[in-house]
Amino acid sequence: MRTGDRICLALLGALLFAPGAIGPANAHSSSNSYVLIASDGKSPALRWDIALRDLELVLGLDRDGDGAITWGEVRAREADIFTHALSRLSIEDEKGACKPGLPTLLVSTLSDGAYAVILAPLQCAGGANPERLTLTYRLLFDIDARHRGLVRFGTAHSMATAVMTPERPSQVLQRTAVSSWRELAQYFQEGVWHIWMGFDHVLFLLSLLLPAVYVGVVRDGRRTLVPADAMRPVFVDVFKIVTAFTIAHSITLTLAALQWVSLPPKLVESTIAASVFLAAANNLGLWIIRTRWTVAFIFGLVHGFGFANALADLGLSVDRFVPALLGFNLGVEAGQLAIVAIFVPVAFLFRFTRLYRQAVVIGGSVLVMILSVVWIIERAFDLSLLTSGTR
Amino acid sequence: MQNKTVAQCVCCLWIWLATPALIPVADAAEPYRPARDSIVLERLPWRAGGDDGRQLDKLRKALAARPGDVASAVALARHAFLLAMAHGDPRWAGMGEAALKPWWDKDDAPVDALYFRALLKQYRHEFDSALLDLERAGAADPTRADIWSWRVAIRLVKADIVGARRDCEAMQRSGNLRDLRECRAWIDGVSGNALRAYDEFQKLIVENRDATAGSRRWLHLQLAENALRLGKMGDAEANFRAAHELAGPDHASLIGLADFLLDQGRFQEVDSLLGPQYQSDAALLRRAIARKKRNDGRWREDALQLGERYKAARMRAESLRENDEARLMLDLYERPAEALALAQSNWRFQREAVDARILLESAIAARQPKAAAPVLQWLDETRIQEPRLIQLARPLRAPG
Repeated sequence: MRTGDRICLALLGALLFAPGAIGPANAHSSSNSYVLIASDGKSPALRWDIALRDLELVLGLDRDGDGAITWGEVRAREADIFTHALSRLSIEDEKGACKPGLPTLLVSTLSDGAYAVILAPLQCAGGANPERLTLTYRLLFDIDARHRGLVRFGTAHSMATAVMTPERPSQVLQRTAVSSWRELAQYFQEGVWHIWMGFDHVLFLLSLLLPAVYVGVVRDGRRTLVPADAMRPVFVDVFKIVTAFTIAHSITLTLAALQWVSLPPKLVESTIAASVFLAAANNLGLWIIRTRWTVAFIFGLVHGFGFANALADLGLSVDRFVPALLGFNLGVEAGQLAIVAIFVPVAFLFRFTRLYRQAVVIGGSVLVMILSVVWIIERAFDLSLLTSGTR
Repeated sequence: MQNKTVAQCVCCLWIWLATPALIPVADAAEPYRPARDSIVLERLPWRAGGDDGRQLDKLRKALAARPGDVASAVALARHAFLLAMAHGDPRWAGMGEAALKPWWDKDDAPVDALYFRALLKQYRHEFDSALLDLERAGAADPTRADIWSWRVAIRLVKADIVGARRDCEAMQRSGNLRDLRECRAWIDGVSGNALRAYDEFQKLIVENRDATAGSRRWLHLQLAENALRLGKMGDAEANFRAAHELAGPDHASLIGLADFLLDQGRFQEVDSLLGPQYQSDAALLRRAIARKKRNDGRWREDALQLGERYKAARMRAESLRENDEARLMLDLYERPAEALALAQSNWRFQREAVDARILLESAIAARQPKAAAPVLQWLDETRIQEPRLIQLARPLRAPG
């Protein structure tokens, strides 16, 4: 491997794991607290996020009255926070009480502000994997009649939710299996929709596929393309490209959706546009013929991040919801296959015509290059040169 | 021609593009331990400076000391309601409700309790229930103009012009001519007599220089809205600004000014106006729209935050601002079908100009002109002079 490649790959690696930064977001909205009772088979655990603004009302955290709550001020009242909160939540399973063990205090930043997070293991009378709990909740109800406790209990596949209100302070939560099929179907549709609406993904793939019905030969010392004799080499070529693209974007879609890897959206979108440019340019310069599948794979990795952004834009946190992710990915593949299945036979039929060679391959590639340059400029510099440039 | 390796191409491009584009990405829902004690986690605008925080503590202590005392409860409920209106923050409404809890379901509660109960209910868009409470309060004390004026306000939200006029005339019993004039002018403004309303409000502002900031602010807002209806942009702006700059924060004035600037295309000014101290849903939405129109990438963060907040609201089975949610869907998420559904749901409860506008715009964007029919009917019935609405509605009226 050449030195240049090594450096580039190192840089690539560094960029992929950019450190996260957290910015505080202060806000005004109705008061919620979030109770999560996670039950992963080993032992149940409680996570309770309570807004600092609410704790200020009950405990007066802002000791110096300067209108700002600092971590020091929160830590100083740790014991009071635990006592106040935990005395207003009681959890029972079928056999008796689930007692919280030694609690820890941390902080989280949600969409409407900073929350104190109480983490505690739960010791349940009936065993380590309860299916059914009774919760009695009365935090803040005496001060805020509109406060709600939003409860989730279980795992991603088997869970129960409840909204604790002053009118219903005591509720039973029974875990039930999440209907995966329905979720899968819904996200499948979104996946298909996204690839059909994602012109950059489609154009990238099509640009790579345009010359699929040709084979590269060297004539008079120059690389050139001649129409393929039979369907089989065409099929193999298409298959390799589509599969490489699919595998690559599935990998990064999964990594990004699980939030194990994060890339800045602007960078992703700019690179996707660049990939379209290069794929189209390659049809003119003919630098890479037989190994176009490598191009598909490498840029497929970036396209996967683009799909993940779209999935995030659906406003639903995928984090651990495997059916949603699986469905979306399958939808993308199905949409892709549909495009390929329509395009390739037609291209094959027309491969001998000048119309195809000149207008579609060369002319089309030039158009795509121009379009992708516009996209690169738009995305790198946040401009909107074409109408509705944002996706 | 040499074969370039693909890796080289990727790397060159990556480096070239990476420099302007490196932004750290946050994963904020994971709990963490802050590094230093001095890190500020949350700001409380109602604590920093001003009397609001101290007054609130005083009132809460007073109520805690005398739990059954109506006067203490009402004092706290009033303060909480004012805080809600000042900051656009529904949390305070919850506090007011908790203070009035012992009288919440009593039909024969004292007048003040009924009155604030009604105001808190209308804040949560329980309009019919609020009207009933105001009726009971009005029956108990017919001389209070503020009871009638809130009835008028609620009727106008529901586009019940006839009912509003009736309640307005009932103010005569309060013996307060000024309130009656204000009320009549208010209804004129939304029922096709903007010029008459404009003239009257101009007179009222001059005559009421000594009135409270709250009253003057309301007059300025009314004048601004009527100026808009008559196309007097300079006047409108001057009055929106006057309302916003009067002492004490007021959410409605802030949003009124922001909406005006947005419609004028002055996106930079909206961004400057809605600084980081304003974090209500409505403020965030307008800031995000202004940023998106300026192609400032930060709009996405605001849009995602809003999406999260509305999601949390749905979990509570609560939808307080469906018109804003529809606006979010239409302008930021670019999903007109969902925007239309939200706008239609909103129209069931609220029928003011802003609600009509989002319904019209989303019906057009979703290519479902028939969905706009209720707005066209509303325009005809109220004869409201909102130039933008009339302009939007024109192509929808064309035959065929």
